[in-house]
Amino acid sequence: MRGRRSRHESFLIYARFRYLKIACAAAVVSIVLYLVDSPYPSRYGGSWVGYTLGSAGAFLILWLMWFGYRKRSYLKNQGNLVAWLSAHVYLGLSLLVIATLHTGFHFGWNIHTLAYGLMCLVIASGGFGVFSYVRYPRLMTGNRLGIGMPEMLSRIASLNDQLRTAAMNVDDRTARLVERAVETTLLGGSFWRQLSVYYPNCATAAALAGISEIQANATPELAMAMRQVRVLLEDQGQLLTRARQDIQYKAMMDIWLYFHVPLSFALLAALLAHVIAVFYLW
Amino acid sequence: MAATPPEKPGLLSWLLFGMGYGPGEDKSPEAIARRTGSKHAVKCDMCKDIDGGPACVRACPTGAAIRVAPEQFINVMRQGGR
Repeated sequence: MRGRRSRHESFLIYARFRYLKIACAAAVVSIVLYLVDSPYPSRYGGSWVGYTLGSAGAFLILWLMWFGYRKRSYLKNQGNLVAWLSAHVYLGLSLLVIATLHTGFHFGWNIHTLAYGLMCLVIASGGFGVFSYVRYPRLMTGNRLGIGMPEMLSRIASLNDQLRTAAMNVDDRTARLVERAVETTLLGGSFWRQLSVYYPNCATAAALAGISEIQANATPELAMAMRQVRVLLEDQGQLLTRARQDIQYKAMMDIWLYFHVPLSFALLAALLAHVIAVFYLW
Repeated sequence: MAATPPEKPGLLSWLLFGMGYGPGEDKSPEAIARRTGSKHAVKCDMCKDIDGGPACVRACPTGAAIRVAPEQFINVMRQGGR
């Protein structure tokens, strides 16, 4: 690596927006080509400009998909991956212009428009990916307050131990609530749960609510013992909220890839069908 | 670890005064280390056999992995902790 980079540089501003400029140039050239050519009866994908834009778009799609292979070849010395990602993002966006002009704004219920629609979905999911990579890391750092997930989990485990010990001094009903909180409190779970941070039957929250009720008409000695349990449960609740928030941010940064990658393969299949249909079954 | 490459002299100063290493001389890190006696960390042992800079930095798509000099490290930590 020549010219050592010593500070963080986002893939969006990489090399002073080099790939944004290239992408804009590609889009402008496409628009000019589109405007210059006026075939009979209207502009469409089969004119010479249409073929040029279509070939450019198809090769761009193949090259963009190659990124999935490139980013996993760690040993090859093919330049910085930040540069590749920067180019992937900006040239991927320019594809929207190139392919739209290639269609000549002729849409219909056919394989050609299916390929175009899939391409738009892939680009949209990628756009969300860029958004999430810009937004969530910062929120994640703010939410963690300097402790990582393993540390959070070990603190939760140690609070669980303390809760079990504290529950020995309280009445049976409270002890049962604490036991249930320790045993059944959920963290993570299905993808929807991770994304929504919605835990309606959180056993820790239920235990806190139950304890308030019992505490109201408890004897003074019992109330003292229960106060300790309560403090521990409140700490546990705060820690759980923080851990669940962290899981949500992580899930937001993962979810788009579950659409982006399969859709891009669907696009590849549709693109192949589109090219074959155009050349052999015209 | 790799040896700090010595300053390459101009061709004439090497020809006339024999300063620094010239063409054909051993420029391997070991030979340079023998001559100069100093080593300087450029990357960790994990990718020492792979050419180029630190492979982790090269393989990070978002630019989250960076390489900093020790004297810059405190500044980076301070920024991160803000």
